Amino acid sequence: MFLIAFVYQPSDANITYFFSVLYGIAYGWYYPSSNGYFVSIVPEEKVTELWGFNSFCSVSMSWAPPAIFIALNQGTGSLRLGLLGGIIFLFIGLCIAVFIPERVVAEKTDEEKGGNAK
Amino acid sequence: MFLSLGVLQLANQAAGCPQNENGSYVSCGNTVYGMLPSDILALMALIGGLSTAAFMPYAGAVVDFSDHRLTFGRVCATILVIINFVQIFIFESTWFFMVIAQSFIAASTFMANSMVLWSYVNAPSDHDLHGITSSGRLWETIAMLSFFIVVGVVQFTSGWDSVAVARFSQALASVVGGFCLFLSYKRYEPVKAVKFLDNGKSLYIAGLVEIGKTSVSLWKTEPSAFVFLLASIFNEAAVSSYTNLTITYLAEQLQMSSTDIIIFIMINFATNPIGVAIHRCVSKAQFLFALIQTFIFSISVSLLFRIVP
Repeated sequence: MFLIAFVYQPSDANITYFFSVLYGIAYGWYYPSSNGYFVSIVPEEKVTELWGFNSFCSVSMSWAPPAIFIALNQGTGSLRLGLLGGIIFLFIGLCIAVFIPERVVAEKTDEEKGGNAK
Repeated sequence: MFLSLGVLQLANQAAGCPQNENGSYVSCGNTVYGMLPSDILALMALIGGLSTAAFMPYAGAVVDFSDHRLTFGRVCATILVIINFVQIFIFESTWFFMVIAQSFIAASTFMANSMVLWSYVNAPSDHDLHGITSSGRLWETIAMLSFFIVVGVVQFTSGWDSVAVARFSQALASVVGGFCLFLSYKRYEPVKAVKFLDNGKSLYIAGLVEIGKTSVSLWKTEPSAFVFLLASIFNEAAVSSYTNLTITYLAEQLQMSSTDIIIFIMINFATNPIGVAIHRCVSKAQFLFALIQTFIFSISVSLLFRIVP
């Protein structure tokens, strides 16, 4: 999204390759870390079961940023404003992610520990 | 991506917009099928997103409640390959049909196929599962980059326009993709249903009910996972729409040629493994996740200060 902040006319086209590098690194970083974080906060026995649910969550709102793009572009004629949809969704995602609570793992009782030792 | 560039070219031609020397089109304000040419790719993403979101509950129910997971996956893969093959025949008279076919059919069958393939991944621990998914993503990126390089070389050397390159890319994708999917499904065995469904019950309703039950269960027992998935809904929506909308922006706003856009995307893919490698070097996934979110947030803040004319 640096793209539409700093690169918005044909004479700026060469600068886009710099942002392509930045976004490529972030894109390659995002998915593994997101998957890894998901695996770390879900109970081990539920990971496989919830993987499909994770996939559904990934696509459930994928139609919305393009819808916002079409509405803004058709209404204002500005492609820069049209890309705001993606930025708004990232901002909302960030705000929600900040409030992800720490996962509390119930401690084993002494009986359970003793039983395991046997 | 190459199909998107071909569609964009044909949409601008249909709208009668003048062409620049480098092959890009001037934003002339003319409409085609009631929309600006710059909205056509976003329309593909919109319809594709809606059809995928509507189809996923059914696909999930087939995977969980039926013994026909493998058959379902093979059918989705076959339809996906056929649709990609049909898109080789993209012309001035057929491009809008290709947009609809890509949006409605290809997007949803692709997601269903992915769901079936990943449902067969069974790792002994969460660490192994994370390793498998990271490796899978890396191989996926390498394959996409290789595809881009092949088609890019063809474009650079042949001098074809975007539509001809789109036809070649669809031919390559359907042949190579079809072969790879055939090999994949040959290795899979039929799997019994993992959950029970009463006779006469609708699979689609069962899928929706399962989504609701899982959401409530997560909220009560694993609130951190619930909030993460809620954040993921918005993050993934933005990230997944990146390609189509960026192509539109580069072509229409910056008037970049298709060759320049291909180079942009190739650089993007070529730098993905750097991000994957950085991720593997740092220990705490939570810290990474927060860091990336901060990075993305800083981008949006900088944008807010520049977007006001």
